[in-house]
Amino acid sequence: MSVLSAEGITVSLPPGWEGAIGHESTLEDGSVRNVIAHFATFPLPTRRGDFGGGAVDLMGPADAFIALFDYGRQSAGAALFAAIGAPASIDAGHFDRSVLQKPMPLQSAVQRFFTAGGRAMCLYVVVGSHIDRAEVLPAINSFLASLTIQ
Amino acid sequence: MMEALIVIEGIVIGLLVVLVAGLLRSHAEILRQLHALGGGEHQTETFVPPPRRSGLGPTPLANLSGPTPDGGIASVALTGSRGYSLLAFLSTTCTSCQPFWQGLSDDLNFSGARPIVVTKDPGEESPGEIARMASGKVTTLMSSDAWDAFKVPATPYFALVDNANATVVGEGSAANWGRVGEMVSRAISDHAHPLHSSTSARKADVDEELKEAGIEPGDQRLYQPPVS
Repeated sequence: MSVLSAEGITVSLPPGWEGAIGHESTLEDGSVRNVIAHFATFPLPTRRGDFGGGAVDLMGPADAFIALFDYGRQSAGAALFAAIGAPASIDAGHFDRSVLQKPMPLQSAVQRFFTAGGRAMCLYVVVGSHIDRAEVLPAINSFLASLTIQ
Repeated sequence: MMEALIVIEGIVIGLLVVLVAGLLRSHAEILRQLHALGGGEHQTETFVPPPRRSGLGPTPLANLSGPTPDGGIASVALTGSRGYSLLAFLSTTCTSCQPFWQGLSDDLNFSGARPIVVTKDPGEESPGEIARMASGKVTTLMSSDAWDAFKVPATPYFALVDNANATVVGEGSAANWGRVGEMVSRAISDHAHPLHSSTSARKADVDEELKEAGIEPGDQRLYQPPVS
């Protein structure tokens, strides 16, 4: 397994997975570019939307896409982010087609908000095939089990 | 008086010899530099080593990981994935690499292979220059480990990886992206062709088929004339 670590996020990538952890930065207009991390079972395109736009379009039925969005320390502990710690696993029953940020045929997703390492975070998981999601779920949960956020 | 003229003439001749030698040396240096830049009538033949395809062996890295020009970090799978990855080993100081950096913003097409620019680590490269020259269209990673693993002999250098089979199916250099595209197209075409297997691979296939038929090495039936 390949370990990817940056911006306080560390994860072990299952075989065949790839990922990218962005760098928090301040843009010219003074706005802050949040830390966004993307992980996938398929080759990630260079240009991607925060929640996988441009990437989820390329998913096959056996694929998974995961986004981690850091909403910052100022939102940590707020009602939306009241859950403590990143989910260690996800059940097949958690996936819902209505959760998709970008509606795509066959796909479904899970979205979880939580606080970890003093940071307000969102975990967004997409599977390429809602019907066959159980096949890719072990790899997703292996990924989640290794995820640490500081 | 005559002796003085002979001495002066000798000195002048000596100076002329030095001058001509200097000019010849300068000319040779100019030719050498032009040669290195790929100029001259045989630029393609001298600049582009022939690609080595087929049987190049397993991918030396499962994942290609490193910092990205925007300050992030990324890991690209070279095994257990799908499609082809075209690794472009480039340097910001290499003159021959400039056309490749400048061409990153173009619509590049490599027969479906995903191009990935690989530079050396921030300690050995200029992150600022890479950030300036990189394009948002092509993934760029900084990894000296990848350079070592792929034994990059010079820049620019390219390696084509079959991600599904974890195999390097082509590698070499070229003068421009267009030529790289031709090499990639040919390498993928060759790799998909049934005759691309090496002799040893075909022999292994035959051995396996014979074994499945119950014929082991040394079996007497191997030495019988074929049944007509």
